[in-house]
Amino acid sequence: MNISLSEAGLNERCIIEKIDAPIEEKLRLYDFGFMPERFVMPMYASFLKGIRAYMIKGTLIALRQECSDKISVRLCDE
Amino acid sequence: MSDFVVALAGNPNVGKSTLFNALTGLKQHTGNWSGKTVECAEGKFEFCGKNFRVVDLPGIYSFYSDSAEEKAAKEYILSQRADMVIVVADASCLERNLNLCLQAMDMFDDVVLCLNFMDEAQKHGIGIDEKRLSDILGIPVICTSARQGEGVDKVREAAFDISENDLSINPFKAEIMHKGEEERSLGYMHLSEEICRSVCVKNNKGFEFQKKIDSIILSPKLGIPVIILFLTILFFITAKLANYPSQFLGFVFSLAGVKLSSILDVLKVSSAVKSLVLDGIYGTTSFVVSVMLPPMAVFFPLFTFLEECGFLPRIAFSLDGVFKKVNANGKQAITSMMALGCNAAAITNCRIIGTKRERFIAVLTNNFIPCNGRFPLIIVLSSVFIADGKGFLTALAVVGFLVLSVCIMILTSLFLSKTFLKGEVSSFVLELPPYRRPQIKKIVVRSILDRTVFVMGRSITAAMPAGALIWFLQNISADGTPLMLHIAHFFDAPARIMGLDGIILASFFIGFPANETVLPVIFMCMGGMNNVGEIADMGAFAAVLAQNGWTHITAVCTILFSICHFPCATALATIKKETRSFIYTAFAFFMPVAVGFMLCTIANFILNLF
Repeated sequence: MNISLSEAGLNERCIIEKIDAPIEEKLRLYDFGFMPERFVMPMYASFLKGIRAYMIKGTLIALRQECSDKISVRLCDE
Repeated sequence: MSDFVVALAGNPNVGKSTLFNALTGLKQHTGNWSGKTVECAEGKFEFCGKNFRVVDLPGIYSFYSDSAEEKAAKEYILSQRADMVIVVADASCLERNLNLCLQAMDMFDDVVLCLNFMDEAQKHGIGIDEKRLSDILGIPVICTSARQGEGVDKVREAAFDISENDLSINPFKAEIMHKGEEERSLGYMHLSEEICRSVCVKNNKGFEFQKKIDSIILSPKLGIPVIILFLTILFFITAKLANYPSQFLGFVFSLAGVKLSSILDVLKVSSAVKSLVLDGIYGTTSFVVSVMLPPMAVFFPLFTFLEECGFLPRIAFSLDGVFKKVNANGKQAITSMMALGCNAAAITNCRIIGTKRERFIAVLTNNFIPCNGRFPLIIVLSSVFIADGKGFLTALAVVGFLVLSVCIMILTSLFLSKTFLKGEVSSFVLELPPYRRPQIKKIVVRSILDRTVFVMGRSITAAMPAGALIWFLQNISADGTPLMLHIAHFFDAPARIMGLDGIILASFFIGFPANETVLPVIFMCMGGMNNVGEIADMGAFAAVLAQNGWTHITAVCTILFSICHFPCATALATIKKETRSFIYTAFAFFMPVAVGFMLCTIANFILNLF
């Protein structure tokens, strides 16, 4: 089952399915490595919940919820 | 013969400016966070009798991006002004960085790939077969650790060989630059992954330590307390250590003042000129150097240490929720932290914020964060009037004022985002770099020799004429009253409402060229320059202020107005440059004054109740 990246729990390994964002935002996410069929893992959440840091391709990238909502993922264990 | 132009391109925070400094001997700002370089910088070096011009470009993720912060780099590369391009890549995350190199190779023939941070990559168990990578790409691949200066000569050699056509380059062309945007972007990324699979070996060592630290610093519960703790320690060390050089400099200036007086006597200058030189120019300048400079000299290396570690983006991460709530960009937290060093530099760095609306909010509210020119005033007055000279209490008081300044900045950002600068909040992606061990020796030398000496030079340049001006205002009379008293009288009514007096308020205006001159000007206007040696003695300092009617309330209100008053001349000129608008520049001048007036009035009213 696909969920949005913002819904995935911390330390849950996910695989990106697709990104539903305007093209400019989508290209920027590709630059950071957020591409279909790539692993991503939510690592840390900020105290006001809006932003989380994700481990992708060995780098920590922080995304606001509005952005991670647009990334569909499936959990790796499924 | 014209110089051979070498452009340094690469993702943000891959060490381009460090390599640029190593190649040219210049001192571009470096630090461990994305977006430090916002303007193209140029430098030169000579190798084997040939002159090279090096252009350090701001970090760029893709040559096909339309984002505002990458515009300068993209335009430069596309203008084909460079004779060759060195793509600097972080060897510890090559897969992502190689993307840009492949794009550059599709546009240029003379491309060199520089794998920087090789030491770090090896530490993390990442091995790269650079020979094989070079064969696949068809371009020279050079391994460097620019921070240690390793491999820099190989970069020079490669530039020389290319300029002499001695190097055979046959770059691999992906030839997908004319495809659709999405297909092209994915195509480059897939190609990068494929190449990396064949040249990289990863053991993923050494990340456990980073994870442990991040689990505390990025924790939702501990993140903010840890930031406050770090800042408290920073200001505690600053307040404690600054005392010793301050007392020493006070002693030296006292002796030098006696010598200068003797010299002036030998020269038989008039008593008026002697007073102008000694009490006016020398007194103010020695105050700036002995009282205001030591806290800066201690603060700068400590702040640079945090910057080099990679702490700043983590602060932005922890504070982002607050900025989001006020409809501002999370990167504003980074530019706000930079303001602790210098508001003008931080305002220029607001270019890392992509949209005009959010950038303007960051520019217009940046001045609420006190810069190094204002911190000595806050530290000295907190120490004397609030903490009774106790280092830890001083640090707590200073951090308290800093937290207040952040709150004011956030509230004014909210006000702007609801009124003049309404709009949608933009998407926000922030890279959290790996922690890097700072090079202590380099930090100390760079902070003291570059930053502190630069600030001191600027301060002295502003303090000398300010001292002379104050002397004239005190010694030239109109209607039998010194001009200074007329000015003080003019400012006195609003100042009293704010818990200040006319002299203090006038001093802020006289200190407009440089914030670090405000306290010396106040002190001089009070006639406190009779013995320069006593300046650094906090007891004597407090006594002079108390004789002039200063209370705890005066000190608190002076600190509050120091946080909330107009930007200094340099910062204001930068605001004009960045906004290209007289209206916004005027707004940036008057808005903090209005906020400061309100805040001081409220503080004065409340504190007088007790």
